[in-house]
Amino acid sequence: MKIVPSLLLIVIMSFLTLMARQLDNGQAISVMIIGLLVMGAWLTGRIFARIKLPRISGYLLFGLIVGPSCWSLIPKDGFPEWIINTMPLVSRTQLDGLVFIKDLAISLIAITAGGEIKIEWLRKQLGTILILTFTAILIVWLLLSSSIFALQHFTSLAFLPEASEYGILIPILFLGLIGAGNSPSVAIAMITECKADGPLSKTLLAVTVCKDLLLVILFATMMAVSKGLLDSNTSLSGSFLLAVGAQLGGSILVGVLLGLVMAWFVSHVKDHLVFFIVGACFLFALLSEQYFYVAGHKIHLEVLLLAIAAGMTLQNLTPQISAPLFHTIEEMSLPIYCMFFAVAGAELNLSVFTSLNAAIAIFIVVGLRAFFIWSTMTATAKFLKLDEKWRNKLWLTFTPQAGITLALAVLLLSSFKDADGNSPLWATELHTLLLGLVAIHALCGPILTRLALVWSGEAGKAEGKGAAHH
Amino acid sequence: MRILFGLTIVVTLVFLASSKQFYGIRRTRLGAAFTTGGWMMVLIGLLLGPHISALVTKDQFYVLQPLVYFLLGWAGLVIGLQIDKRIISVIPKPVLKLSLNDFLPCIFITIIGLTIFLYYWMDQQVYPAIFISTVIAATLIGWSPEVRSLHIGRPDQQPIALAIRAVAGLGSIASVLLFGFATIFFTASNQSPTELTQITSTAPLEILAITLDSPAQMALDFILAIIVGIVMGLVGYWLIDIASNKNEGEFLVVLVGVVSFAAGAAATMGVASILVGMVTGVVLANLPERVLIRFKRVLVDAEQPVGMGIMLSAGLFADPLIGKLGIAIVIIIVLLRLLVKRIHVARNFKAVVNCPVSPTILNGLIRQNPLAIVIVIGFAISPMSHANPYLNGEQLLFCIILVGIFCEVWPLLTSDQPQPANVSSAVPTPTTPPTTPPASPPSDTDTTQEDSA
Repeated sequence: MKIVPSLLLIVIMSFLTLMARQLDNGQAISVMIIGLLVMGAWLTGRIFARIKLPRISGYLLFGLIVGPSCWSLIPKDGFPEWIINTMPLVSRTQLDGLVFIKDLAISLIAITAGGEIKIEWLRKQLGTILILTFTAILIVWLLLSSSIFALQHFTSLAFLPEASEYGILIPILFLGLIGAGNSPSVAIAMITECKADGPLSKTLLAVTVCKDLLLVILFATMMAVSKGLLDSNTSLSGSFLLAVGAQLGGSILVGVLLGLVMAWFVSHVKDHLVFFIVGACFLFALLSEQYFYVAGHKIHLEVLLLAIAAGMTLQNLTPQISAPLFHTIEEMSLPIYCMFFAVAGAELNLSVFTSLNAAIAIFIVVGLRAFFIWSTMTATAKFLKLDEKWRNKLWLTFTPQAGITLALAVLLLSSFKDADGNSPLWATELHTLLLGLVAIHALCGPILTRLALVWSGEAGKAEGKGAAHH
Repeated sequence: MRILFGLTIVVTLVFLASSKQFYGIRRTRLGAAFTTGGWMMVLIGLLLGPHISALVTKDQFYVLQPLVYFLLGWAGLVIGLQIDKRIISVIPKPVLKLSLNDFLPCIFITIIGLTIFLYYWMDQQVYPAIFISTVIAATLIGWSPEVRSLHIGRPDQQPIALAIRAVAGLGSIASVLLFGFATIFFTASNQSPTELTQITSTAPLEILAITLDSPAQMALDFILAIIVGIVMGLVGYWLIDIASNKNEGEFLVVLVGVVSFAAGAAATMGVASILVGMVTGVVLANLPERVLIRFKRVLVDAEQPVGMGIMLSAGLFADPLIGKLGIAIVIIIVLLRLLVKRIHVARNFKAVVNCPVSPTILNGLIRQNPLAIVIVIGFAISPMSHANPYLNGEQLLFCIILVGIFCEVWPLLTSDQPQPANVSSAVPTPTTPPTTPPASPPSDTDTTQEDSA
């Protein structure tokens, strides 16, 4: 591995992109940036692999460096004006333009995840999975929220401002809930990268998917209750539960149907699999953008659930037929992963750490979250009498946070806007806190997950995961 | 409702495509011509596009435009990879002469004749008329490299197949160069296409003064395009060398990264992505081959999905409302193809191959190179596309699609050969993937397998 030439090449490509940014031709520069992100992330990932760190962390770090956040922290004195006017390499506008990459990647990652979950195994482990899921979400949520509330109430630390006459409760409950979640995409990507196979990997995958489901339900519930309490124009109503149920149930049902259609395509047409997969992923993204009304509430299909359900259907109903499909997905996944995680890295926001108070609050929440995840998962795993070989490492795999947390943070900010389009202070501060959490957990989480998979002895045990090795 | 309508179209087409009846249709010569030419994907694109079901709207397609630049760059790369100096050096002189016999009339008759026609008879302004004529000239050069449907099976007919493929390959290179030069030539001026259209509407010859006023800019753009292509070729070679031999996904990363970067750099400079892609491919093709063997396999595997993507994009982009001007252009292009290839070039063709050539084969020379679609997609996404208010790039694309379909079908309809008893050699079986038009010839299945060997 030629580290110095790789770094030199990254610098040269970045410089060329910077020069081209001055001409900035709209969509044209986006193509160049895609090339920069793919090659730069891949080379950085290789450097990271050389020093025994996860490649995904390399992809994320590269994205962070070329993204808008890093540049905003650098003092501009001493730079020529043309650089100041042109940087960052990847601007917010361009990140917004790369949304189709994210859609494609999320669908691909989720189909892969679904394909890893076998119903037979799930049936045997259902009790364990459900207990771990509820513990990982409900108990951690409760503990995290209580401790932050206690710290805010009994110390001079001010995590969040109050939200109306309901005090600090609503923001803290949101913080605790979102903080309890973890990233399915990082989990899947790490299992694939480490070629891991075994009970820890299977449990991680199943629990993460179930946690995602539960998180969406609880988040929607919290949103409905909070809006009912904080907005005088909105009344509390149970119809939102129906809407949430329709959203989740509908996503799973449509996903299963699409999975059957995909299986039929593979068995009858047998060809053009790459094109078919790309088309299917875009279809999932397209479906998730469509809105429906149920019981007066606006809902949409969840792309993650759609794709996971499709992947599970393919794997469990038509495993023989679907094998070529999954093999093709593995072969084409590497450039998608590079781009996706580079974009995710570019979206991280480090400017939240410029405020000392915010930085302290973030690190405290990070510490509390880690402690509660460790304690609850370890205790639950012991209670369930899981294998000693991996039960103490399970908690490490629930540390990464990325896209879903960011998405919920943005949703929170946009959902409580007043008539003038302004978000309340508590929502803004909470958003800032969550961005900081994601920044740390996105960078450190994959490293901890890799450690867990290596220490448990599951890394490298997967068969036939050749091309997916990043 | 819109999305359900679109989904219904897709599912119905997939269902039909896999049905026994459709396999039967594909086994006929007409069916094979329609499906193997990638026209099915064009049809799907048209059905899904903004003019029919609107499942994919113009705004959504705009978001996907980076993908289109990438596909153009890829097409150029594949063409460039064919330009191996070892192969070029052994092309017989008669074949080169045959190529010139085709290229030169296509270029000069089209650019001069069509411009005059558009200016005097169709009331078009000079600047857009010349540019459209040049783009059309680029699509006219050469022909389709596919030979199976021409029933060239006997050993003594091999020179015919080789001649067709060689001229098709050289034609692809010439098309890309012409389109690339045109893009540089017509955008060298600092004024926008709309401004240039207005200026030349009152003073047609002003076009010469304006474009020749900036030779330094043209030269710089051209040199920069070549330098970017060369640099990306060298970078690509080094990256392929360090990529793991055990993991073909890494080759795919290099391919996607290099092509995207090169295509994007080209587009940012206002140069055709396909030209820079081709230069990158030329560099790769002429470096030591040991590194590229496995990489080329990835490229070959990716050729079909990319070809399908290009044809789907063409269908999504194309605007079927071409009006009288569009219809006139379609007729003119078809007549030019008949005139230049079936009459003029066909006379010399027999002399070059030195063996009996059936009318079916000669009729096959009018078939359009799939690269024509790629060229016009490149035009459609360029700033010059909307310089002409009467025929924009999307409409011209539909015109070229119509020409392509007609030229594909006409040789079959006018062939005097009976349907062969065993059609499997000419028509793909249901388990054999239909050959979608590759980005560049020679790339039909026979040739691909020969190249891989």
